Amino acid sequence: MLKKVFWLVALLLAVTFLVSPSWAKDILIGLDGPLSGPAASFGLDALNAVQMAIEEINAAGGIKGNKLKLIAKDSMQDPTKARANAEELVYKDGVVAFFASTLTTNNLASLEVTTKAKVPHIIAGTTSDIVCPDEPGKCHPYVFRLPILNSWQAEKLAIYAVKNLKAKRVALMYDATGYGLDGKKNLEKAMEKMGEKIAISETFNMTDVDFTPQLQRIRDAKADAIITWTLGVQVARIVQSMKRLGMDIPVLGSEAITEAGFRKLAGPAAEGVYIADRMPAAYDSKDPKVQAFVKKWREKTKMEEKLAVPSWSVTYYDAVYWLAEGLKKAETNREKLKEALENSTYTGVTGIKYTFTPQKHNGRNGPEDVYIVQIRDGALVTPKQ
Amino acid sequence: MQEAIFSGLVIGSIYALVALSFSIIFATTNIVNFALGEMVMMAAMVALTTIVTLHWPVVSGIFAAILVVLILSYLLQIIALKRLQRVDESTAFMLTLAAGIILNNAALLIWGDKPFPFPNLLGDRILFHVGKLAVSQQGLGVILAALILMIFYDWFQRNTLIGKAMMATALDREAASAVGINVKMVHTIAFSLSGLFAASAAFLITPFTFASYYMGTDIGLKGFAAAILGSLSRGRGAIIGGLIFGLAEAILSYLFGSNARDPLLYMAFILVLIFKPTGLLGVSKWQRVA
Repeated sequence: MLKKVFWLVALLLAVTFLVSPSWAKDILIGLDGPLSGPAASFGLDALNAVQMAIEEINAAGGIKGNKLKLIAKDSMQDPTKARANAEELVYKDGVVAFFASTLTTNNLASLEVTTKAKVPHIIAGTTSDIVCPDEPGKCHPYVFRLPILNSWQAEKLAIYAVKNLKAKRVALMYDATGYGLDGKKNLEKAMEKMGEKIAISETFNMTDVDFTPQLQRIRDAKADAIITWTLGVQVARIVQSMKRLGMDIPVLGSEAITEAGFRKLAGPAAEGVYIADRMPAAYDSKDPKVQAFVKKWREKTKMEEKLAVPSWSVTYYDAVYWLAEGLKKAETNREKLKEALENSTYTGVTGIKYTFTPQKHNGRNGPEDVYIVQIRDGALVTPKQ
Repeated sequence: MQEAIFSGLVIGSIYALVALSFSIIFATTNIVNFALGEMVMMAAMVALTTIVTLHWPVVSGIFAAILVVLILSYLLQIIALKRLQRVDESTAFMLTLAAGIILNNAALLIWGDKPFPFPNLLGDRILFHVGKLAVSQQGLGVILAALILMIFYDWFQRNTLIGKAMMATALDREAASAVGINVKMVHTIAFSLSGLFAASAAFLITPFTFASYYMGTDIGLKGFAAAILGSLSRGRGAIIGGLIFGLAEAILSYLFGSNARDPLLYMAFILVLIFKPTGLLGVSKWQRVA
């Protein structure tokens, strides 16, 4: 009797093996980011965008009938956590591609793992030059970046201040962190390239509350424009200090301050600020594709009417579709996927074109891909000049 | 330069209020209340919730914030001082430190990690110009409000029975108790006054810093440093310490840039303490007649 039962079970087991292969398999994609803690808003903006794109792709039939499945992990602001997450996603879950953290240090920590395992490492958030330098051969073969670079932003801001705003004496305000110092270096290089000089450079600590002394030095130096390189809270304090001082010269800033938090904190003092963004002001677009995207985003995230979709969210959204194109060609072979990705062009939802070649792993081309947007009535719009 | 001096006075008078809050408690109880920065933060957050989120009238919101801080101060006093009767003062320091950490984390849970804009209760118009210096309603308002509070405290201490009882307790707790001063009540009043000044500092500084769960740490540290600089045990000393600290910060960063500011500021700070360990206006315990 026991023997018969054994044979029956064994037979059933064999049958399941014969039937299974025809069932559809999920294609696993990994994501790491700050999903909690002080930088959580960046990570959640990324996660929402990736989820939205995957839902759409799956609803439209997936990749040749196979569904995309996202495994998201939280590394907060902890690089060791980012590394452990990457290891788990790559070796335990076996993801075919990896979306790296929006934070540069966490991005670099996971990059060591993914590149060693030869898993395409996709950067849709961080703009720091070092994760994928804009020089042939300097970017790792398995690393791909879709956004613009910090050095490009600096170049565009310098050009805009001098050529469009006709500033004769440009002042610079940067914070005393790695981000600020990197910005200072890039801006100095950019001004030099145009044969101009920075009139005065001022730095500050992240905890400073009053920027009067720095601003007064800038006024003493007779500056007629200020380029800032820091985060939203600090630029909010700067423009409010300027208001108290009755200072009325144009303020420009890096992409970090496109976040809605800056406009909320600074209030009316943020009006007129120019920002280097990775895409044109989405609100000006009459394109039905853009309008539909914005509407859908608003429904998903319950975003206020006046706020724009964060630009990094748009990049993450584009990145999923771009990856899906590659997966259609390569299926789940990581080596073939890398080849497909580095021979691709893709036009994103806001009309931005990404082109990759084996020599060029930055999807965008240079400072000409940086757009200047301006804050007007609390929204990001295309400036008049 | 004049603008650096003006903005130094504005921020300095807020530091002075926080420094005064430290010294009021230290003078009467010998406790450094390390939860004070978090009291400032709690006042700001409660005012933010009542005024901005719940649309209460500004005055009601301010009173609600002061009330919350007074209740928290009272609770802290009961815990810290009840213990203090039996254990040493360093245990009380730890208690206030722990209370501060609890408040900080509670605020993170309640209000989240993002900073919020805080209404500028004093108005943001520019009133008049003195040469190049633009005098804003907010700047002048901060200085005047802090000045009124500090003058009130000075008058209160010198001209009321309770104030004199506080001075006597500061001088010698046992002797004060022996002549019939209710030391327990003096402690309650000290903690309440300290809470009141901390809350006032919150309404004045938060339009500059924005309201966030982490705002208390920095203002608490600077207020404490200012109190040490002036004198931790004398109210007037703490006020002077706050003003000097604010002015030095602004003038040093105007002259040398803010990279050089902190090293220079704290070097000067150490020098002062080497030559006057009790602070600029400090005196030894037996001379301490405020």
